[in-house]
Amino acid sequence: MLMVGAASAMRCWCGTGPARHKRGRVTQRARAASTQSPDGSNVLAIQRAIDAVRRRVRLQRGLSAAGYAGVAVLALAGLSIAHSRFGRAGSWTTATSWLAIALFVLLVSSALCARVSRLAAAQLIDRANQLPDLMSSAWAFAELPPERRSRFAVAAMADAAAVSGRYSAAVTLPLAWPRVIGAWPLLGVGVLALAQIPAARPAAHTPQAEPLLSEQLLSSDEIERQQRLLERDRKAHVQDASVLELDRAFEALLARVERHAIDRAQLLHELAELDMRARDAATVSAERAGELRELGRAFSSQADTRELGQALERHDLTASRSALDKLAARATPATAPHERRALDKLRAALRSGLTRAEQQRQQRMEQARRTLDSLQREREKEQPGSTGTQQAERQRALDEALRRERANRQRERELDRLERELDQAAAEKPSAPDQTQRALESASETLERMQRDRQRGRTLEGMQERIAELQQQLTDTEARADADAASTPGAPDEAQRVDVERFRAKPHERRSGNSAGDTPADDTAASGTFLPASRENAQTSAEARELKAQRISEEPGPSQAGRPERGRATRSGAADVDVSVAGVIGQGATRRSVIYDAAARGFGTLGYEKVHTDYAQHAEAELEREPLPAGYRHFVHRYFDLIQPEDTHE
Amino acid sequence: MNDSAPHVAVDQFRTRAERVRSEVEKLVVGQRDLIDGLLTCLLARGHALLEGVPGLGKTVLVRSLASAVELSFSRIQFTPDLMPADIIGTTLIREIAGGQREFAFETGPIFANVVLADEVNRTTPKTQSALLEAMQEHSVTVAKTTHALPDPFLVLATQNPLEMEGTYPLPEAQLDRFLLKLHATFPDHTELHAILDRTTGSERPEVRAVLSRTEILDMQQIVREVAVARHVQDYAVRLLEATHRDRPGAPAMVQRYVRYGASPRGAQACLIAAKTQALLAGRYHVATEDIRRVAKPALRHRLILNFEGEAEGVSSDQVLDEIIAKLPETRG
Repeated sequence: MLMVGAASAMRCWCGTGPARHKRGRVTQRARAASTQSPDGSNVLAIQRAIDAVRRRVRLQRGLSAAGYAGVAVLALAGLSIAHSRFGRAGSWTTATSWLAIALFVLLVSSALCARVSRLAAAQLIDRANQLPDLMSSAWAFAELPPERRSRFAVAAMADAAAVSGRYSAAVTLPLAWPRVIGAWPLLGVGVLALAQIPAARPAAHTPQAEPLLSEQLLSSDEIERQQRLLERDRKAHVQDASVLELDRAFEALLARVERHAIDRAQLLHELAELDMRARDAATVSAERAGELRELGRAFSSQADTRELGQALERHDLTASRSALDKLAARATPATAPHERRALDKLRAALRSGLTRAEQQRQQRMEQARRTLDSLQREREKEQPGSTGTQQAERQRALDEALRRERANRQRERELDRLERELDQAAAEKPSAPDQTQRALESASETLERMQRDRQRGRTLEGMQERIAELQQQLTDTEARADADAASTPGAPDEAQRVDVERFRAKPHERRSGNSAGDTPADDTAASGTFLPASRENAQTSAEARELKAQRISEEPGPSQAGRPERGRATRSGAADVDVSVAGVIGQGATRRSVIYDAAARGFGTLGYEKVHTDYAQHAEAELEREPLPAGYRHFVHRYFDLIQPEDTHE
Repeated sequence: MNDSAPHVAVDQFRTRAERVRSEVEKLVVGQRDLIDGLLTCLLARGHALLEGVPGLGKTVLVRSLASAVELSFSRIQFTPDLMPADIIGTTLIREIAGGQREFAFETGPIFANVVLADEVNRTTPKTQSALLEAMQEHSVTVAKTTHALPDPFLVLATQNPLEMEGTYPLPEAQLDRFLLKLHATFPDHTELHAILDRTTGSERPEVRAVLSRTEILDMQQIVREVAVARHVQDYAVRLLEATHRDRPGAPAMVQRYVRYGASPRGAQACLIAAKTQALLAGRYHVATEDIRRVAKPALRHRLILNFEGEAEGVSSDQVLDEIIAKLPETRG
């Protein structure tokens, strides 16, 4: 069927098929005339000549259309490539390709199949060959019925038929390349130049929709920069397990941000976690540095070890190692008797310094043990009604003490080993200098280890700085998102949600060791804070509120938990009425948060403004006292901004 | 010739026309367009109005043409005191045998095959109108009796465009009867020499009759047989329509300067004159170019310019030039 259609189309295009339009009927009539009248052959000859020109006209039109279509296709290709290079590739490119192909086919085929009247073609022959309307008049006469043709008309047709073979279609209409083809090379060069531009790095994760402004956490440039810095740290050969672990955790977090697989609150939380871990690791390094300085002071008091002591005081580990190497050199077996004496003196000095350092260490260990014991006792005696903040503070102090204890134990082991080595060196005879040499080499290795430790501390400091930067950026982007939302009426409510609950719950979980199954509502109820629950756990929060109300009715009020100066809450006996005020959406940045405990009994007797002021001041003092990450500070400030009384809201 | 093959008829037509032209050119130097125009009028059964300053050979040309064909010729010098009866003729009482008297129609000079109406604009409109019936109907009616004019009948009128004092411009109806209005142009340098050579010497060339009346009638018949394609005829129609200011597609010059466009007689004149031109060119069919060639002589006296056109000195030829330049051919 396709072949038949194609053949029919070809015959129609060539003008030789049984056309069904008016011209076609004339053609059939002309064929009939060729057998019935003597001038019929003239008609066919004229028609052949005219049809040849018609095909030529179509071909020329097809060429012109191809010229313009080529320009359009090249332009579309350029657009498509530009889009794939500077924008997002994908379905747009495919659609453009299809559009270009369809455009080309449509333009060319429509030009090839366009109707060309025989009279127009005959006039074209007349004009091209300077025939005074011979072919056109002859064709007009041929269209007449034979009986209506005068003898002069027939003669004119005969004339036209005679000359029709003389003027070929190629002579009549020489094919001319369309001028627009001249633009092809230019456009082609442009397209090739565009194609040479490297494509934009494909996103690892293609989101289904453009993330909301509030969900755009970090820019891709910033993520790349952080990844480069991590790579640089790795190349610095910091062979420390904790640093490498932090490194990997940081990289995984960046990958999640890049995939948009984390929201702002969670990111802040994770950054705070990382910050705390880095801070802990850095604290160990700082303490080691302090101990080295004390050791240096001890060595400085002796003339032989002064150089080593001063280097240690300056925390110049390279110089320290150099000084130690010098000492080791002096302790070689080739030394003279007076040098042996000096070496003994040096050993004595080292032992003295080590003894002093050991005493100080033992004092600190004792203090740490006492602190730990007291904290453990407090925890065992912990009241069920104590606030979550107090519990968290105690837990944090306990964690800190345990960590110090572990660090002290490690240092104790190192000092013991150093002392043993010195003892061995002191006990060995002058004839066995290699043992002394080994002892000094061991001390040198210790210093080398400390040097690595210092490098590790620098890495951790850098990581902390970067985490602080990221937290600041997140704070800034949220502020911008707020500004955008304020300028966009009807911004998505989800984007404006403040998940204060998550902020408060996560550190609590971390420090108190709560299992993952604990719900935020439980935390809220247990901690006694009036923080909002998220929508998902609204039902659980309601239950917790009931439990809380029951507990309040049985136990002293919240003001008494940890704040004896406020005393028991006064009961007014007034009929409390719960009033919910719906936020007006669409008039700027509307933040909605449900504050459950504010309506609880006991708080109703205090003015909300005073409650807010007290609580905010207390929180501010705590923030000032504790080293908190910037993201956490922001959440706390934001929380108190949101719950402040309306008259001071401005 | 009418029954012969077309190519034979056309060849004979051209040969005869060439013979007449050669004879005329024995006396008339140059003025090729004028000669062709007169020949066209003769063969297309039309009348011609020749316009030109005195001394350009208009009268000589007409006389030469009349001499080159075996046709009767009369010349009427139009003057202000000329009466219609002086042209047409009058009824006289004359004695017949037996002493009886009867009314007899004495034909005027218009009863000739070729009538030269010299300085036709110098006579009164009354006398000018005497030509109306004769030119259109080829007959005259006197005393309730219609007298047919000899066939072929050709009026060749001349007028001087300069000396307009005491003249009576031809009315539009009269002008419309003329197939062509021909302009006698001033001869160029070479032609002037030739004129002097021919007219100031001792030998005076004689024009012989080279075409009989029958041949002329045959040729007039052949002209009517020339084929015209529809698109060519459409061009003539659109050309005529373009002379009317109220028709769509009228050029700006027409809209501005033309008061009345050409009548349908203009299109008839164009087509019949174009047919003659086609035959003279040896073709069996009329070409668009033929229409263009005869458009000005056939239409120039049929356009009536408005006051603005006349005040600005715009001629009909300028208007027609604009129309021809801007009118596209009919495309298929």
